[in-house]
Amino acid sequence: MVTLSLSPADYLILAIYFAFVLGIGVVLRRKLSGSADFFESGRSLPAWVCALGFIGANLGAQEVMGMAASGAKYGAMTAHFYWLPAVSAMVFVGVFMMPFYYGSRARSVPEYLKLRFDERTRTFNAATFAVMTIFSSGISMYALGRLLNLILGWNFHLCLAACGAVVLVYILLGGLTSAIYNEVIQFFLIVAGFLPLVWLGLIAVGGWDGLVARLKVVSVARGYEEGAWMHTWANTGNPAENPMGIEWVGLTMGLGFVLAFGYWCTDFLVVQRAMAAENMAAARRTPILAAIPKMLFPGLVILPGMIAIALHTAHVGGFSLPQNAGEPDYNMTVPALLAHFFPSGLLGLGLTALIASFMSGMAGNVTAFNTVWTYDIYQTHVKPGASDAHYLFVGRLATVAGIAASIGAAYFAARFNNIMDVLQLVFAFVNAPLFATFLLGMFWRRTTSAGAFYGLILGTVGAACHHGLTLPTHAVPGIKGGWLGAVLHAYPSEMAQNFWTAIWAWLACFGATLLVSLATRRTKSDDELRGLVYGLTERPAESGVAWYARPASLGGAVLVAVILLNLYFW
Amino acid sequence: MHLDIRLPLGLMFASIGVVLVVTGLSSRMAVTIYSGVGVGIFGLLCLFLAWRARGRGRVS
Repeated sequence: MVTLSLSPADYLILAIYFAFVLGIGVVLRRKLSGSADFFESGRSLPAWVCALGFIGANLGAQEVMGMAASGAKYGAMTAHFYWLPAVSAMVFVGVFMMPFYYGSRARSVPEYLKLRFDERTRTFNAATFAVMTIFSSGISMYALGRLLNLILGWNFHLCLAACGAVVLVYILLGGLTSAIYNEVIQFFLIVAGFLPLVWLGLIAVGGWDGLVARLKVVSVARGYEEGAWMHTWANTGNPAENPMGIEWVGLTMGLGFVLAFGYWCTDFLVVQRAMAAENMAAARRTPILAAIPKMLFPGLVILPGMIAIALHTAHVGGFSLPQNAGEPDYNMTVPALLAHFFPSGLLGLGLTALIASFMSGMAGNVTAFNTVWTYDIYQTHVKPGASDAHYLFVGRLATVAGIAASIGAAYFAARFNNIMDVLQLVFAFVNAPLFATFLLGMFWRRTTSAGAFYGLILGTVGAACHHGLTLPTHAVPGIKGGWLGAVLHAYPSEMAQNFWTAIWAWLACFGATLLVSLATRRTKSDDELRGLVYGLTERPAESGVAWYARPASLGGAVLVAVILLNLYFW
Repeated sequence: MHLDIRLPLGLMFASIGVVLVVTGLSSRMAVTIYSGVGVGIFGLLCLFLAWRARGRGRVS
């Protein structure tokens, strides 16, 4: 077990962070004048702040710790979660989709669905999204409490209560702006906290050449070709030849197309950050600017994991990963590295970065939840036509309820050791079909409301059928699949099964939406769809704008850069 | 909703930088001192940018 002991300097750094987080909330409280400020930041933030919020909302500590763990377990292939799939999706949403989200003046993703289709599609999406965000926030809380309890011996219940209270206070005070500002702070804290870790780790492992040489040993020791831990594509011809157990079709279609595009293009948690931008140009640049640090982040969060497994296998410098059932406990990669490399002071900085990530993860989910609850559920179904002050009050109440429900979800998560697997599966069930709905809805005017609604339902059913009829190797039928009685296919890994579940969900939704749309009558005229569908919407004017400020050319440059990265680590 | 995030960001990182430098000097850990200097410079840069934007009447 990894244990850390903090010095007064470490506590001081933590205290400085908490003081500034709460201080920002207090200052923003005085500038908040209505529900638009609370839920949408008054659509007043510059592109660079929204971009850091956009990437920060996705950069929870589970992500940071999970990616380091995956870097140790799977090597450079983990970078697929950051490179082509994510970056292409972020460029796509900036260039093609943001004009509809921002230009339609919708206040949320479900509200766009209402404008484009109808109320039932909006309500279906709002309800599933609200449940998802509460679970995500709860799991983030549980993971934070568990981590602090394990490595510092702090009381689990007290950690939940304290962090929940801090997040509650700063969202109540400053709303979405407060959450985004804290995501910006968290982003820079992760950079400041993890750069020295990478630097010290690389020195210990003998520099880049030393790392490559030691990872060859790791690959061969685990029965793979010697470059398996350093290549991203070279061994994907056969799932048995790479540590992830995935072939290139599942990788490009499942992660690369359906899951990544489904998440970055339709998940309100991230899209909300771009919708807070000060104008259309800033909103479109937001995801593309966010793609730049996204490309570079594997160097901060995956590389430490690769360094850790190299040091562990070679028994260099006295570093070793803690063991769990005879295997390295990959989830403890980051705490083990912090404990080994960081002296007093730096340890406080690293720990503050982790705590900031957990709290930003919670805050991001809670701000998305309170917006969807207030606008898409309460205002629509419970009390339409009330005053702005009333909706602001309801939004604050939803924040309190969201935090309370998240704490409940954290205790619920504590009862299951595989709740994270369930949540990942829910993402495949919800986001993958939703992306098919958006793709058809935004780019094909013939898509009907009935097509969208039944397509979403059948997409979810398609995901359930695939999951129920398949199973990862060595897993028993149940929560990991095979619960429909017959197992038609066994996947080499859970990740491969998740990717293919997403592919089937997307295909089912796409096919059903297409067929039902062709069989039903349109309920909205071209005039009603103007500003909501690609072929009926005027392109935003870009004359007189420098090339690097134009979404298309900026996105093109980002794509070239990520392709070069893929070629280098092929 | 006008608060230039660079102001609290700069103040926070400058404060953390000072803590790291002092801790590094007292424990004679070069890596802590270097990190403190880097973090502190970043904080000061943010403060400079916030001050310059305020001078131009443009708040981020």
